[in-house]
Amino acid sequence: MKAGPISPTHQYPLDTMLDALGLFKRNINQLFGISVDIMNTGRSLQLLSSSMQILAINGVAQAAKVGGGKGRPILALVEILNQTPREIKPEVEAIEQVCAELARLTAHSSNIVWRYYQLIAGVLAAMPQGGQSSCLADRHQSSHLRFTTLEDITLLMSDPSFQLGEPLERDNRSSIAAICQANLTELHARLSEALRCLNDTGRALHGLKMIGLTARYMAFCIASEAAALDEGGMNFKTLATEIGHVVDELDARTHAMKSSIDDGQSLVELLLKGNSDAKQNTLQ
Amino acid sequence: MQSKTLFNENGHQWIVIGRDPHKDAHVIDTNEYVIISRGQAMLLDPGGIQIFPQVLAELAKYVRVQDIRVIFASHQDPDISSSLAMWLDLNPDIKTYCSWLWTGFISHFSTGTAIELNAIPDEGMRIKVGDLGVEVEAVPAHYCHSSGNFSLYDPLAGILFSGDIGSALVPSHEAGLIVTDFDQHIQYMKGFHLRWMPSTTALRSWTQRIRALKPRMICPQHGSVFQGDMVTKLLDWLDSLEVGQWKGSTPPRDTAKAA
Repeated sequence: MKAGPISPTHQYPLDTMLDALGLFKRNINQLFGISVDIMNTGRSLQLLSSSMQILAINGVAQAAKVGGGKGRPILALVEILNQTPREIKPEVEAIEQVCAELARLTAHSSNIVWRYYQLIAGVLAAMPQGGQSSCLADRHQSSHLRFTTLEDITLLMSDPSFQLGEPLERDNRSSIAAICQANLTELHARLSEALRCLNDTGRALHGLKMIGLTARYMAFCIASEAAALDEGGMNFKTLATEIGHVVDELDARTHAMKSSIDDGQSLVELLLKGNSDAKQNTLQ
Repeated sequence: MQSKTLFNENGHQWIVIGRDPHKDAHVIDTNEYVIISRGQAMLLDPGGIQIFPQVLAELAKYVRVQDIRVIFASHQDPDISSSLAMWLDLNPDIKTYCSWLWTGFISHFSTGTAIELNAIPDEGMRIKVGDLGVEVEAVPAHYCHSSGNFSLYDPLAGILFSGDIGSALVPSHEAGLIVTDFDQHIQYMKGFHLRWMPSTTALRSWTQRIRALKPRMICPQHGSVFQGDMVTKLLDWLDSLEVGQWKGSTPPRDTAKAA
């Protein structure tokens, strides 16, 4: 579709812009959902770590029953496992903090884009109408007129039609457009912070994965030690299997969290480029 | 959005903005008024957020946005001032005024920038249009319709901004901005006043105050402007009304249609 000129048929790009910005704004709000997903998964990991602790206590009790010092290596292994909740807790707390910051940034970004939406609509409504030609239509497709980037506003301000009309109107258009630029700059700063938060969450997730790997290795070692035991060996094999199940669950949840973080990162990177994601909109 | 200069003498202007042909049908039509005095402006009931871009675009033809110095809100309704945060975003130095009863409520329209409202006491007060001395008067209009409500009188222009009093739900944006046939206009005002005005006593007390001011023009927030003989006709008609009489029956047909 060819671009409509800003003047005289200003309603056309205004509608296109409002649709594009509406989706842009909804995408920003979707970051809320993503941060809540990450936080909920993080909290569920704390429950999982409690399961791990119960298994470790069980292991300690059983290892104490093994006579002749044979249970000592297993005792050492399950005591390491017993530390898991203490290791997971600060990681989850870090994730909660980052997610709370992410939610705050999302709210702030949502407010900025809401104000920006009104102001840029005001600028476009204030463009001269009726019989004035605009070069903008000749140079660009309508899809470029989304006004989600500073370049789009610069393009608008450098268009000859922007300089038409009375000096008072021109001054007002320029000053409002300047506020729009400031709003977009601020929005980009907030979105960049949101991206940093998501990256931080990714790092905390890496820590959780390492805890899972350690627990799995402990389970493997317990199973190996159990093989050397005549009496009660089966109990430790069962314990090792149970630990493996808990670690499997930990893996599944960290995988889900990674998926949410990846979605968030893709979305913010898209928004920072001034694009929006219609697919995200339908999925949420 | 359309606009019209109602008064223009010696650098003192009244402009009305309204009758938006592109407005969504579900949004009630509103009139936004601007007093410009020596280049500085006061916005009266700047309107809802839905129409902010159009009001801004129209206002940009008359005054620099940096020269908007004061916003007056007659009461707390969203069609009056839900755009307040946007105006303050444009110009954080704007002073805003509303009834003391609503300052804490209207502040909820903030979207980041804190909205600090100047409280108008119940008895009213004088407010400067800008920095240069021209004053207008906030006239009590409590319970007409809001419990903390003010009209605004400009003695220099002889114009009274009446808020919701005298408002009408005119059928389209093509309706005349100035009332020329009062009897014909009643049909658009009657339902509005019978339902939205809660107190006959308060309404009659208001008309007494306004008769004493002898305004040349009365400008409501919805509908059409009254001038000349129409001012007296409006005040007489308001005195004849018995409002706030709903007793659980079906609302009058014209109000139901309006709602």
